[in-house]
Amino acid sequence: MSQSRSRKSDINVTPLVDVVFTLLIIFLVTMPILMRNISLEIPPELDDDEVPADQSGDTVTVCARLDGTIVVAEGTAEQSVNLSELPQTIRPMLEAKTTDRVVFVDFENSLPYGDAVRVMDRLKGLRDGEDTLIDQLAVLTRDDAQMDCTSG
Amino acid sequence: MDLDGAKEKRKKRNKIRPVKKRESSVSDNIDVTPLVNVALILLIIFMVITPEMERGKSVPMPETEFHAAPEDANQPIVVIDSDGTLYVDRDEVDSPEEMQEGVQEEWDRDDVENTGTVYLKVVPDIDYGTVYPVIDALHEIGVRNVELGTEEYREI
Repeated sequence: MSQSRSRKSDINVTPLVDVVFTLLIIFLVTMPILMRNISLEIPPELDDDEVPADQSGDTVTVCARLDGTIVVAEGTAEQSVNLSELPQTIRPMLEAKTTDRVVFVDFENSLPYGDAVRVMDRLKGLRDGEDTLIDQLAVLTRDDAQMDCTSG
Repeated sequence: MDLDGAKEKRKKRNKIRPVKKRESSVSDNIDVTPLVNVALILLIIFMVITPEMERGKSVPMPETEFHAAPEDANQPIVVIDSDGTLYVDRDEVDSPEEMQEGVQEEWDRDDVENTGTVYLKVVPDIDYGTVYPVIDALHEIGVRNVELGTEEYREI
């Protein structure tokens, strides 16, 4: 009787220790901070005259507006789509490309940054098997910082 | 005689044994309390330190699904807060020019390699019109790639 009582008086801390150590290990493992990011290239000297006209004609440009429409332009051909239609619109354009698949993005100045990132996220989400369909996402450099893709 | 003696001894031992057994039943468990204490304290220390380890001023960032998640490459960090205030790492700067100087200073440090990459942390609710001049200013000092900081997408 006294023996069984003395045994029961100890709380079994083994599960607690297990949980604590597991948590500790999880924290230790996640310590190297991951810098989650969407990589955006800034093309050098895009406004330079050295860029051959026939190459720039093939570039795919995406311009997201505040009203939710996204203007996808390939060369001179333009079409206006919404966010959900963007992947299916842009996929054939890129799959036809033989060179690096670069997409230039620009956004209306008044568009919230969060929405801009959502558009870029959709573009990054395009898959070509295991790889991303787009090799590079590049910011469309402007001649005038105040002039966005919707003006002029 | 000898046998009897041995028997007696055994009997004595048998009599003593229950006492010993009870003693040992108390001490056969290792006292894990200090271990638990140490583990819990370590856990708390790590929980407190982990958010502090984040580089650059802590701001909410847009949530994305298809981001890359490389380990910290020691690149300079530029932060744009919800009121448009610029920060280089955690230090507030007044103008894009000052930000350029700040990034250059980061690159001049021995432990930072200039790879032409800057990590940009921007709050989601700010206009792109405020972000673009910063990207443009970074471009001027030779940044070829901005890593737009994001957070893991969580479905609510």
